[in-house]
Amino acid sequence: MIHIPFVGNPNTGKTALINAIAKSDLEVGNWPGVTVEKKEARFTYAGEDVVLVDLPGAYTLSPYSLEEKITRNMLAEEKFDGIIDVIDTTNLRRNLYLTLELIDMQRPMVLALNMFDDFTKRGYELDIDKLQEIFGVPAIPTIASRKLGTQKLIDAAIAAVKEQTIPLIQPYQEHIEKEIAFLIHAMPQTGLSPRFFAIQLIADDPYAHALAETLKENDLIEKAAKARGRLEAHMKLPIKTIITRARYEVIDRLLEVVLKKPILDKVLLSEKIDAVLLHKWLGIPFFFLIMMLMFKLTFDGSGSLVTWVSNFFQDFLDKYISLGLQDVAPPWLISLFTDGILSGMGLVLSFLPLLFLLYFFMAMLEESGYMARVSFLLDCAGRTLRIKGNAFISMIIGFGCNVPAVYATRALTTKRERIITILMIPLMSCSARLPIYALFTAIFFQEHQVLVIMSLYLLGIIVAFFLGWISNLILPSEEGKPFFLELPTYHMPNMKAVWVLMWPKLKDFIVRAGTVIVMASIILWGIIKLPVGTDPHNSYLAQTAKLVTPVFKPAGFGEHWEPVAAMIPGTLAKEVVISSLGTIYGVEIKNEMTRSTFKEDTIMQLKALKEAFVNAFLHMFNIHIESLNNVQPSTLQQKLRKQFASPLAAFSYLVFILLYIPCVSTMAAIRTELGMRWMLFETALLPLVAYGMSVLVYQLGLRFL
Amino acid sequence: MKLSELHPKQKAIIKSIGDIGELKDRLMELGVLCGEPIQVVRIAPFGDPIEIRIGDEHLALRNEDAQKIEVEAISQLRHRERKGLS
Repeated sequence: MIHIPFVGNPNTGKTALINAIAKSDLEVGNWPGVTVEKKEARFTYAGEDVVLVDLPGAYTLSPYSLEEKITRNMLAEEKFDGIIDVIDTTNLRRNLYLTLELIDMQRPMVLALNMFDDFTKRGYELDIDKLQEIFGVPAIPTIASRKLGTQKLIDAAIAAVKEQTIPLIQPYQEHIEKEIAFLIHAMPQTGLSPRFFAIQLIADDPYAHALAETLKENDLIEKAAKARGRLEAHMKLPIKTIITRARYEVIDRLLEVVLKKPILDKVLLSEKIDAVLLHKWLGIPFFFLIMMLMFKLTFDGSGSLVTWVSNFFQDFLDKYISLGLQDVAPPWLISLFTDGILSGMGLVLSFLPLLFLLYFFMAMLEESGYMARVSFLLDCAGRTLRIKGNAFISMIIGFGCNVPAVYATRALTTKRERIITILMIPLMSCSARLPIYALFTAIFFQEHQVLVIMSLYLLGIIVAFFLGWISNLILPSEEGKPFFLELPTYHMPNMKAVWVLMWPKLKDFIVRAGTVIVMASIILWGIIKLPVGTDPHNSYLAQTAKLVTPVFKPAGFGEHWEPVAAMIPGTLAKEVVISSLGTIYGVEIKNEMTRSTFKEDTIMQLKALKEAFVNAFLHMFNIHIESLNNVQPSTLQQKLRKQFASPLAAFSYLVFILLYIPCVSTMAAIRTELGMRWMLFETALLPLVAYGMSVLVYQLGLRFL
Repeated sequence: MKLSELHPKQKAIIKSIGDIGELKDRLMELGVLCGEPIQVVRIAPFGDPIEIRIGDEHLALRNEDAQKIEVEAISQLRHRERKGLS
């Protein structure tokens, strides 16, 4: 006669399993003295009588409910040969708690992994071999409802009884194990497993306590109390909590090894992604890769549209407004309107495609959960300047365009961080400065073009960090919020949320920064075009430049006023330096006023717009390397060659170009973010830094080259 | 031992949370309580901050704060393997 109780949580399918195995109706009675049903089934297995007992559902053997009590009493007091632990596999974590208690009883045992079909349907995977290896007992997947796995289960159970397959002890934390071992040593022989008895005694289980008392083991009770006291003092927790947590600890550790969550499990997927993106060595390179990709998509995708917007303003609006005003306004007024106001508006709007895309990708990164990771990756690097890791994102964006970079500082919490970051951003060499480098290096450094350009970028970074470091020392440190990051699970960005992140920045740029840009554009128009009817050599700009130029003698370009003059309109947008040089030297190729009708032009513009969109799309997905070969009129090159005494002087000029005031759009953005005072401060500071650096470069170059 | 002394992938039980200002409340809200199991997931490339896991939540803390959190390391699965039981 082999007695095998079926133990398990409520509703795990014990009864269905017994039915399937014994192929009989259960004999239903009552447990002695209570009204809880007792179900048994008898059948013959290989000539032996086997009794299967369906124990009431229990979550634990430290009983709360009547059913649990019966189950515990049965397991503690009645004779049986082996346990079948029925587990609802879809609820593995909770079910294994009882399993651990059963393991502590150290009796032959088999696990029935019931509802295994539902479990696999959910996309989970269980490493059953590993589970068997760890527990040291067979684990059989079963589907009681379809009578699957039942034969295997009973075979395994009988074999376990015959071979006395005792489950392996799953050790808890070491200090708990110490106490258990200590109690086992002092324990008399009982029908209970010493380990189970010891744990129950430590846990102050009334049943165990009563058992010890009947055995007159007062010494044991005292020892258990001491052990409990030590644990509680050590953990500062009630004993129940200590034991419960210890068990779940074991379970979680086990599940980590044996349970494969579904592929679509977001938590797991996130962890997998993080294993790559936050990798000790690869994390930073991946960050740069993602940034580069973002840049490529932004600039390739917006380039043709930006061009279209500027062309639309220059060739179309400009032309027709000039024509319309021809008879009603003096030429200077028309010029103010078109070259001042309109070109300012054109400048603002030409930024839109670029900003739109950049903010879009930024918002996507923010929404997907990657931004928090960047802070994690770079926090330590930013700490030297007491700024957050994600401040570096702003700086990196600065290499594309300083304007969105300034807006990106909104992600930083304290004003102090934002000030330091915004002070550094203009020193990140934006893409508008590249054509100037290209033009000059093509003339003066034909052999080492790339090297020279790289060195300029590097210089910007070095100076930026120096500035950041200084301002970190000067600015009073705020009691910053403690550093704390939640790393959210990666998820697909919700487009509405992305838009909410994007729109305020775009709106701010158009409205608030836009007005500043248009104002600046008007002022600069005044400097360049006035007095009325002037030529480029006698404008206010030229006059001022002629005055100022000697100051640049120590920097190596104080001989000729033209390059100095070109820098002032260059504040509108850095690349304007080139066309200004052209204007001043008088080598500009005048746009021919082609004779065409309004209708033709409108159609042409629309066609161009369509093409721009197509190109934008195409460029996003193919890599094309911008060559640095500039098709500048060679007269400009010749002029420049004459105007700079040496390549060193030209390099010094480029250093100045790199470091002096960024464009008015950036300034407008700074005003939006930090206010007028900081904007003016930065406008004053940067030229000084630029002057200092180009003098330093030139003087050092003279001595050492 | 201190939370900052754990190795990546190592698990522990939180024993006490020292004086880390308002960070303590934030952590409490997220279920970082005494007696909770906690796991160090990884350490950032520059050695700071550290990423920890509580349940399914992933958080990052700086070392300076992690030093003020007392934990008790849980013996690893390997521990049993050393004993040759599995």
